[in-house]
Amino acid sequence: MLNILVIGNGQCGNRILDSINKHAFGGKGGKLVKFYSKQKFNSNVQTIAINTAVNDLKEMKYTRAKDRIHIPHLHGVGANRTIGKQVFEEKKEMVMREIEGRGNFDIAFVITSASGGTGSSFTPRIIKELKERYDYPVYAVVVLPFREEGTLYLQNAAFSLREIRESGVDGIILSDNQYLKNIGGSIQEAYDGINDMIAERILFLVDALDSEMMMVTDLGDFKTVMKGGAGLATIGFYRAEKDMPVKTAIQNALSPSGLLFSTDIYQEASRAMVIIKGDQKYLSIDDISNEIEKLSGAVGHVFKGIVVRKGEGPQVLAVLTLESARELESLYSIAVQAIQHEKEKKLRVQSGMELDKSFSQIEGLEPEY
Amino acid sequence: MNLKGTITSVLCAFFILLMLNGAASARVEIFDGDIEEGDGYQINNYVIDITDVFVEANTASYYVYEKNTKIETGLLDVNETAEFDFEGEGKLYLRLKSVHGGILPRATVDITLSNFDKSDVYSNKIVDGGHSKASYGIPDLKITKEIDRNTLNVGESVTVTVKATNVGNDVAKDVIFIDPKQEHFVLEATTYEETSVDEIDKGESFLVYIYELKAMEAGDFRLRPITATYKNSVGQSYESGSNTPAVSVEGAGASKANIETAMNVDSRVLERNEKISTTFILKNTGGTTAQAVRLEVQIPEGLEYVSGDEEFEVVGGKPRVYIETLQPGNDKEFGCTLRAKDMGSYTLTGKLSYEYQNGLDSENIKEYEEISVSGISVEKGKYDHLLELPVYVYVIPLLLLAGIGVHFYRKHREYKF
Repeated sequence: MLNILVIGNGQCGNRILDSINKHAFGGKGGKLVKFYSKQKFNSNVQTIAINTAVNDLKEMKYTRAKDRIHIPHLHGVGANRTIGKQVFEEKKEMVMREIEGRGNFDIAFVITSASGGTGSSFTPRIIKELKERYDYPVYAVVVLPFREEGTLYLQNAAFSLREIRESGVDGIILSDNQYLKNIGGSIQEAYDGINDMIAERILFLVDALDSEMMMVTDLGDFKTVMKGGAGLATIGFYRAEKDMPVKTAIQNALSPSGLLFSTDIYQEASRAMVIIKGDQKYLSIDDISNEIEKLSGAVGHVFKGIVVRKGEGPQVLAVLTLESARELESLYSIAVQAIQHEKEKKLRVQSGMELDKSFSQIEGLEPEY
Repeated sequence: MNLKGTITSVLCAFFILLMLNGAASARVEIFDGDIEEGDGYQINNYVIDITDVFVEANTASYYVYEKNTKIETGLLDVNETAEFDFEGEGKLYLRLKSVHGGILPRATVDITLSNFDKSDVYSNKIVDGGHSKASYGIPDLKITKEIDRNTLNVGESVTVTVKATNVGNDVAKDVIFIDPKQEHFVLEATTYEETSVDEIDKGESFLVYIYELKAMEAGDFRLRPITATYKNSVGQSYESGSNTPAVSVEGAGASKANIETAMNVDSRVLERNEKISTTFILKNTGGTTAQAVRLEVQIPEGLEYVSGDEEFEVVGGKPRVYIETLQPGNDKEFGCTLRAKDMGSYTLTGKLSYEYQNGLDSENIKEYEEISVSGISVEKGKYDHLLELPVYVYVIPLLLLAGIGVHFYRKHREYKF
């Protein structure tokens, strides 16, 4: 049995972590599911939610209270990564003690938004500390912001992503809100939908890494895949109806609608791991082999695993590491503009100090009536 | 000499014959007529039934009964006479004169009596259906209620003497005398009392009562009649009543308080744990004030006192009401609520006591009365069947609920941040 640590950092990380815990109860996960059901992890999965904003921690419904770590600092760091980094440095030992208290792990995932305050500033440092203190692989699941969310978030995302990559992380799995925003509904529904999508994929991955398979992929394979490319990866997923051929399910998982990040996998993917789960009667080995062969032809090495689950329709998860990411380049271009924009605003504000000169003209005078 | 002796003997024989003929001629005619077959003829307690008429044989058969006892049977030819004893010395003669056929055969008979005073014959008639349909002698008790004086003052006594005389023609048996309570008087002393006797013979007198009544109120009154029930010698029932002597009482009357009580319940059939409302009404219908009026409610085991009007106080577990005085003509009403504890049939009793000054005696007169409402039936309550279920029926779900509660609380604590 694998020992897996999943950390959710900041508001976005907390919500995805809560969604993972909710889905782990199985079924549709109503509000009372925690009272009558048990989480169905195959592995020893420890989840920890970290936040400086206590309200974000209080919002969580499916994560145990002891797994929610509040780092006291007013009501958050206000999207200011500088303050976030300072707070982490002050509370670093408290955070690491909590993690250490959960025991030893075989793998860790740190989920965060790249654009917020706490998550984007804590995550690179937590990963750095984990890598320095432990020898298990640590992977970051990073959620990129909507491009119209504002300049602060964009510049945070740009700097945070760079710092995460430089923290010693073993791989970054990207998820892009901008890419997924066509999920529809209200902003809250879109956020919830994206959180659920990411949670579902991570749960599938965690479940598959510790399952008996017809064709085996394991943690080692996952590490190999994640080492490929530029250290960036994304995940494709598709849950098919029972009467859908498995090859169509694989194609859908690899199609843009199945991915968390905008990429042309046949151009940018470096390595892949495809895990297919479902009832044996839906899993045609020939179809699977044909589709995997097609993918291998484009990306190089593809690990494939088949998990047999009686009564379940075909589900496909693909982990794809990327050699390049044009979408990231685009993001960074926008981020640079955002940084310039912020800089200009600051200068304008500083020039607004000329007002003080105007005020100084009436110094020593009193109004006469 | 021989002639003289012969003449003397002839004269003696003549007188003897004359005497015998005189006796024979003393017969008195009782009946001469037709009696249908199956009917009878009654003379006092005797009945001669003509049981069968044989026209072709010119005979008829008869039975003779004294009351219900058969004493003689026989078959007579036409012009033949039968005789039998009647009430001691008397002789009864039955002569068959002729027989007649038809739908109802009949016999023409001649019935005569000798050695019997005809005036003693109080009953002689044809009895349809024979002796079984006959009615016999009737006792008649003449009861006299005599008083030693007709006028007296309040507080004085009158002596009453009751006698009964059987003026009927049969013995009075199993005699019972009933003397009702007399209003306006109180019984002060009883000198003699014999309220029942096995029998009073014809013409016999019997002393029933000698007692004294003390007059309590002024006015003209009639003493209520004594009644007697009795039977004749064959068990037929009769009843007689006495006269009602008039008494005039003068002077100021003795005062009397009289509390009339009523107790009502709003329901006589109720389920266990239901409540029942009880109302008590006390009204002084007497002429003077009732004092120290105390009403104590005796509550049976299966009921319990819940609450009552402010006049109620609970002493020793028993609710009671105490009123210093209750003026003449005034009434008081009290209510209390009881609860049915156990199933069963119960009687609710109220014990009333009070005192009053009658103006004659130096001490207060104390009165006691008991009122009750019976037939209060407590039945099984709506949810009583639940109590009859075995303990595990409750314990297991409670344990399960407790377990679920503890589980939910722990889960809530586990997830509450």
